[in-house]
Amino acid sequence: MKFLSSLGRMGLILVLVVFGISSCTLTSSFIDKLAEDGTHIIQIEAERFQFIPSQIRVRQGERVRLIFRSRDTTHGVAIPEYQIRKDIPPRGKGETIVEFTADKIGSFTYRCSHLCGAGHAMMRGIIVVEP
Amino acid sequence: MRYKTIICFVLIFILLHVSGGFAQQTTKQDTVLELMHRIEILTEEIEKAKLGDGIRSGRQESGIEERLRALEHQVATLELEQTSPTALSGYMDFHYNKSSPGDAILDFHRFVLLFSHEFSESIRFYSELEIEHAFIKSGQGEVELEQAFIDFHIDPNLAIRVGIVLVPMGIQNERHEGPAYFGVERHQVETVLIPTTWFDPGVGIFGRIVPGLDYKLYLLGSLDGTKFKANGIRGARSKGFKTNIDNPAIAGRLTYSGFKDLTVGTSLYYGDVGHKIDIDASITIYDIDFAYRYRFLELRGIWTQTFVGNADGLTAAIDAKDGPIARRMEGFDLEVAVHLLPQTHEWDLALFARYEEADTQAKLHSGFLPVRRFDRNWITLGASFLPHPDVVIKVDYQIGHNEDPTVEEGNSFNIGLGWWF
Repeated sequence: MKFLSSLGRMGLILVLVVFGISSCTLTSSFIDKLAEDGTHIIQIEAERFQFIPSQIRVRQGERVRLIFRSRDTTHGVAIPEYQIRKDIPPRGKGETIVEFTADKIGSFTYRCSHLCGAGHAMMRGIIVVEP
Repeated sequence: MRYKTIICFVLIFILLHVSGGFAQQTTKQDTVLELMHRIEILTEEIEKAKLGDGIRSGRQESGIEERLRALEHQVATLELEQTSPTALSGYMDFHYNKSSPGDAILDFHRFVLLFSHEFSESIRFYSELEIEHAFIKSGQGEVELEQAFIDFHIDPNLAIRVGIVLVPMGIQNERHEGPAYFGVERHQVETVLIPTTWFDPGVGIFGRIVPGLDYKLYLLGSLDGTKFKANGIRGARSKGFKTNIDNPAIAGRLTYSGFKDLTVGTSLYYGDVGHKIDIDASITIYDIDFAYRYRFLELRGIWTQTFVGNADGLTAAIDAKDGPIARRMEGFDLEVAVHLLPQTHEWDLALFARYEEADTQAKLHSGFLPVRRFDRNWITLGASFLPHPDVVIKVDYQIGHNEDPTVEEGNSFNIGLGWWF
């Protein structure tokens, strides 16, 4: 039993390290690109109870297009600063696109606006608008 | 007669008020439809301009796009005004459990309703009210107010939370809807060692330290050390009933989600537990956990330890009959799941395997012998089928084992139906 405990502890650390490293290399696979017309396109995935990524950076004055997809249930996106509030359909039922012009410098919250479970209140992200 | 006249007036007033509200709502809906119609016309114009013979200039096209955005903004504003600040949601779990040894049972395990209300963008209320096992009687079933709190959002990195909250420990305590985890019953480690669902009244702060790194820090009511047992601390939860707050416990959690598809977390809980019998005793619990998903593969794991201060004093004071309170309890689980359908598909079918260990007698004070039947492990194999993202049918087989050769831990076959709305 103690052997299994030690094995489990070492296994957990190993798994963390391996997947930490592999995830570092996968971070670049986020869709975060500029379209031909200059629109900044970012894809964000929603799942109980987080947005992935949970922090995005854009430039002041940029036209921003956020494409939201759910990995599980119906979620929502609210960005009060830009008067945006829309539902995100559940997995396999499409995506939600929101667009705005990042006209103000600062950090603004985007949060889930559809009651999606016990951890709903924690589901939010931050948009950082840089000069 | 006078009463009837008053009642008539009241009814007419209510009718007018309701119909007035309805008319107002209808007007707003008409406006939204009209604006959406105009957006469609402008979109068509833009498409024609893009595909046309060059009669329209870039400047004209730009002007149309500006008008289009202005109209979209008006629609969004009207839709925002129409959104109700109050929401109702819920989840339910219906189980078939056949233990060996034991009889088969059907159990409507959980019927949970969630209510939320947004007073404003910065002040919001959430709650979770649960009925367990369908019927409430002494010792059977429960009604639990698992969450009822108000958040005050100060800025994007800081918010204050007040009320009954979920203790931020482990993975499952804050993520416990049926479709959100594998297996019919919740994980053993997060039942025996982290007593999910664990909630208490308190006050705390939460927010973000740096990109991807979120924190929670709560002051909560204490656990009741007189309810500690040789097989764990599950019975020591106050569940919000007149919780002792003379010596508040402190609970904190850090979660890092800056890597794609990987979330790592760690939690810490410390509190005084001897207040009821006026002895100096304490508890410290920590965990390290992770959850990872890449394409079809899903992995998660948790490692946790519990340290009880003055465990021998507690054992003596409460006359623990089923065995001594341990100085240290510990356990871990590792789970791997493979999804057989792509993430873009509405359905999901996954196979999973999980190994768990929980030892609530890991270390005792000298002079005490451990109760070996509380050193347990489980292997669980099963499948989850989701015909809809919010409906899950689960089946699993759990093989239990403990270190006491004279006591059988038992196996179980379980089928579950869970849904969320």
